[in-house]
Order: sequence, then C-alpha cells, then structure tokens
Amino acid sequence: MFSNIKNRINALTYNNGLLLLLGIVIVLVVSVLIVALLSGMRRNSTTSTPTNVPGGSSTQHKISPTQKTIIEKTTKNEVEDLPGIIGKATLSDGATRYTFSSPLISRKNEVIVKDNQVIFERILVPESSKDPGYVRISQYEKEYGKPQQTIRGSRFYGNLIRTYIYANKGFALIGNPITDEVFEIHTFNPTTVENYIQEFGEDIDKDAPAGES
Amino acid sequence: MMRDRKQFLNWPILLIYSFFLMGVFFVARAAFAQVSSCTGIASTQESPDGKYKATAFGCVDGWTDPNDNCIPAKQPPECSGLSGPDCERKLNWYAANVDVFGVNKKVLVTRPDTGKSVVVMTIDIGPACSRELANGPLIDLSYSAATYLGNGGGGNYETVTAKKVADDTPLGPTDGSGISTLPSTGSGTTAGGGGGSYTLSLKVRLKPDTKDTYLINRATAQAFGGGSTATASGQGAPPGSVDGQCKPTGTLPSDPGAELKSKYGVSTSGFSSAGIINIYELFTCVSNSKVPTLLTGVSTTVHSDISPSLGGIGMDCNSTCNIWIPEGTNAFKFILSHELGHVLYYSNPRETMHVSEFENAYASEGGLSPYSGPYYGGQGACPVKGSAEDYAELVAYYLNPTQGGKTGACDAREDPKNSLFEDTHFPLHLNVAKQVL
Repeated sequence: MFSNIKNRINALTYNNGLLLLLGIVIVLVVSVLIVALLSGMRRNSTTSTPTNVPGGSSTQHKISPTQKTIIEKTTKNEVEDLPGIIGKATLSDGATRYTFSSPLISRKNEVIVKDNQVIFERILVPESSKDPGYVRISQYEKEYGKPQQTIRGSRFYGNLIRTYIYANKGFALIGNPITDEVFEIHTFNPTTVENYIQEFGEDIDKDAPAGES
Repeated sequence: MMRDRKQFLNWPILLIYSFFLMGVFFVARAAFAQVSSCTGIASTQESPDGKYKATAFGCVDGWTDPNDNCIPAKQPPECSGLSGPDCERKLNWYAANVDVFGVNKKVLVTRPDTGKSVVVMTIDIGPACSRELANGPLIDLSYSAATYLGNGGGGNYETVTAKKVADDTPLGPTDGSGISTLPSTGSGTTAGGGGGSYTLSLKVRLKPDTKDTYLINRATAQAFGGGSTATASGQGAPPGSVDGQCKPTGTLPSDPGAELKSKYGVSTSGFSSAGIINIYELFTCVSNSKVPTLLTGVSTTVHSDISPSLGGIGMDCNSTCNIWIPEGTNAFKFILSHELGHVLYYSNPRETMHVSEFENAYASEGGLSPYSGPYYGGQGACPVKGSAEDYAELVAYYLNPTQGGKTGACDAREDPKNSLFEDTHFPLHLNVAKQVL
C-alpha cells in the first residue's frame, strides 16, 4: 500500500510538479487569508451587535426585548460602552445612575450600577405596537401569572396608572389596566415587594386619589 | 496507464482550484469591504471613491430600524417641536451620516446602474461602525430614499455614489417625480375644502387634510351661537355660566338622554331635563371631532354629584368610566370636556392619543393653565398637577375654542383667552390636539 502511494506521488511530481508547487503556494496563501479574515469577522461581530445584552448569554432570560443589561451580570464597563448614554450621576449610596435617550424629554431610560454590577434598569416601552419592545400587561400575566401586588397611582403617568410588581421574579411593570399597555419595565435582582417599593418605587403614588379631578 | 493517471490527478487539482476560488472570493471581499477604518460610533470619513452601499433606517411607518432610537440626533430647525418619528415623516428624504457630510447637509445620492438620484438631508448619527466594517462605506437612507433607489427592499446594500450639494437643493428625487412608497398617513394639500383634488400625484396613501374638519372650530362654534363674549346662551346652561358658547342648531331630539347613550355611550345620572340637554349640546357640538370614535366601546356615566372618593368634581375609570360634576357648576361644558379628556386619555392607546408627543409638548411648553402648570407665565393658585391634568385641559380648550379660562375655585385664571387658540405659546399642544381630536 505504501509503495503504491509512493509511486503515485512520484508520478504526480513528475507530470505536474510545477502545478503542484503553485497549488501548494496558493493553498498556503489562501489559508493565511482565511484565518485572517475569519478572525477579523469574529472581532467585528463581538463589537457590532447592539441588540446583544452585555453580560448576558442566550440562556439568560430577558424580561424585555429591548433591555440593555442583565441584572448582576452586566458590569460598569459594559454599561459605559452602551450607546445612547446621555447622563451619569452618583447617588447617595455610591451607586451610579446612567441615563439613556428615550422618546420622552422628561423621562429617560435608566441603568443603575453598584459595586460594578447593574442592580436596576428602567425601560420605557414604545407607544406604537409596531415598534420593537412593545408589550402588553396580559402577556406578562400569561407568562408569569398575577403580580404579587398591584398599586394604583403613578406620579408621572397619572392616578389611574398602576404598578404591577413581580418582586420575587425581579421585575415590575407600570401600565394602564384599561388599555393593557405597558409604559415602563423595571428589572432588578429578585427581592421583596417592600424592598422594591423602597428602593425603586419612586414613581408609585400610594396617596393618589381614586380618580382625576 | 494514462487513464489511471488522469483519474488520480483529478481530485488534487480540483481541491487546489477550489481553494483558489475561495481565496479569490475572500481576497476580493476583503479588498472591497475592509476599506473602512471606522473606529468610533459611526464613520467620519467620506468613501475614498465616493461609493457607498445604501441601507435604510428610521422609525416611520412602513420601516422601523430595530436598532434606531427613533430620535434623529441632529434634527433640523424645521423639525422644531416635532417628535423624532414626526420629524422623519416630515422630511421623508433623509440620511444619517452627519459625521461624514456634516449636520443637516444636503447630499445627492445616485445609483449609477440606473441613473436614479435623490437628494437627502443628514439628520442622524450613523451608520454604526460595526456595520461599516462588515460591509464597507454605507449611507443610511430613509425608507423612501432607499426604496426609490433600490428595488423596493428598503436598503439592500445597492451601490450608490454620494456627494454633498448646496443647502438649498430641494429634497427628493432629482427627476421631480416625488415617488414614494412610504405608506404615510400624512396629509396632502387640498385645493379648497375637504374633498378637493390633491395637487401632487404621489404614490403615498393620502387622506384629506383634516384641518378643515377636525373639530368644531371657532367659526363653527360661533355659527352655533357662540362667541368670545357670549354668556349663558346655551339651552339649559345655568345662570351666570360663561360656557354658553356651544349651542348647536337643528332639532332637539325627543329624548336627548337616549341619543347620548346610543351615539356616545354616555349615560346621565341625577340631571334635570335641562341638564341633560346641556350635556347633549356639548356632545353635538363636538360630533364632528374624533370624540365619538375615541369613545367607541367606552361606557361613561355623568353624575350630577361630587365624586365620593375625590370629594369634588372629577372622574374615574375601571371597567366603566364615571364623571362627577354637579348640575349648575360654573363653566359646566368646559369642565365636562376636561373630565372627558381624562376619560379619553385613559381609555385609548397611547399611540392614538399621541401621549409621547404630548409629554414632550408639556415638557417644552409647560401647562396650558395654572391648574396644570408649571404655567409658563402664570402664578396659579392651584398646586401643580402635572401632565395628566394638562392633557385634560388640552381637550377642554380644544373642544371649547371660544372658552376662556375660568373654571373653578382653586383656579385663579381670570384670563378670558383660550390658551390653545389665542396664545401663541402652545404650538406643540395645538399640534397634538389637532392630531388626536
């Protein structure tokens, strides 16, 4: 068997030596090019996917299709690399609040980072059902069940707007029960309802009257 | 022997040439695509040969770039006061690439193989470096522009050339065709009143300019018997009322309450016959607006009483809505319109009510009245109640165009003017009202 192969190589070398040499050179050059190209494409793809959630992986669950971070996974550096940052402020507890552009002048998307990890994200949901990220309250109730607590009264959106708190699942919604629309999504580390209200429930207006005057 | 040798030689030669072809492909791809040296958020360099690949972006109807925040980073002055999508709708022919061509510059984009050209304005930052590194120099065009130049794909990386042109160059196709496949709901210009012919022959979905019919306007209100000095002329209006302007003509139905219920889903509770007529008059006056449509499926009861939970005039909604306003209240129709504004706000999708656009109007212009302040120039006696109250004020002012502000005990307004129509300070508010109502 080996002698047979040797004979064939000799024959090939004899009849097509120049062609073979040229082919080997091309293969080498092409291989180098392919390796260089593939590594370049891989490098581009890691920096070019704005829809990727820093710190996240495909197995981690996203509460909103438009959320920018994964709680306790995304790091401060990754947040600072996110596009659309319009503000940064240090909070009294040493945490850092990053504000991101939103369709509203007076209310922005937010990410709060503490101890180099994201602890809270506020996502404003678009009002058009055609826009990415548009969701309904009923979708969440179907997937996650009834909220642990629902509180009527929003300082920003009005007295009839409610906050649907899924504290043990690490998220809350602000929405309109009449139209089933979600206005905002808050993500945070799973906690108690009380803790959520205390830490992140600044929009909740517990004293709001049961109506508008 | 020779036949065996040929068979043996086929596979290595084929393999080598396969690699060769792959090599040629990748080398060509690298040569043509990797010319960009984009390192920041977006490219700042013009293409060396003036050639770009055309892509589409924006958030207008018909095309939504999932990575776009729907706010042009460099909105031109003509978009002042408009939301991002509305700015894009208004301009229609626009591009990103402000870092390449400059902010709000006109750029002539041409597809060499077809000769089609279009002039666009740069209004946003982009395309992202990552896309440029992968595809070579890009020009991110509005859906209309990309589709006009391409084959209906909304930006299929067609090769185009792009160069800056004079700022006064008209936007759109250079052949003047004005062709657009943008499924816009924007209005065209009409010759004369509603139903007139369009002056442009566009391939867009047009509807008549609603400005002629959107509401009972001031002239209509006055035709109904109203006027800026009218007082207590409405049938059933309480003595001393200042909201007698709305007095529709026509025959009063035998049962106005039944008409209210059947046409608008509105019931009354505790009102006298005169009080029901007063409510009926208001709804008749606004029947040409979108109020009836916005009330579709909404069951509302107007009570001649104060709200048990609020302790005063107001409203609430759960599965049904309730409005609480005692018969004989001063400025009854205006206040009823205000409460109706709350009902519409909570009962309809935000998109229908243009809530985001309204919030930005409120943030930019302040409240229409001291009641919903921060009032831009007023020192209202009422505590600032925020945007929800301002939305209700917007509806009230719009539906009562001849009504000045003087609505309640806490409201110190003595200004007889209608903030929306008689004060130039609120163009954004007015724009929202026109679209919603």
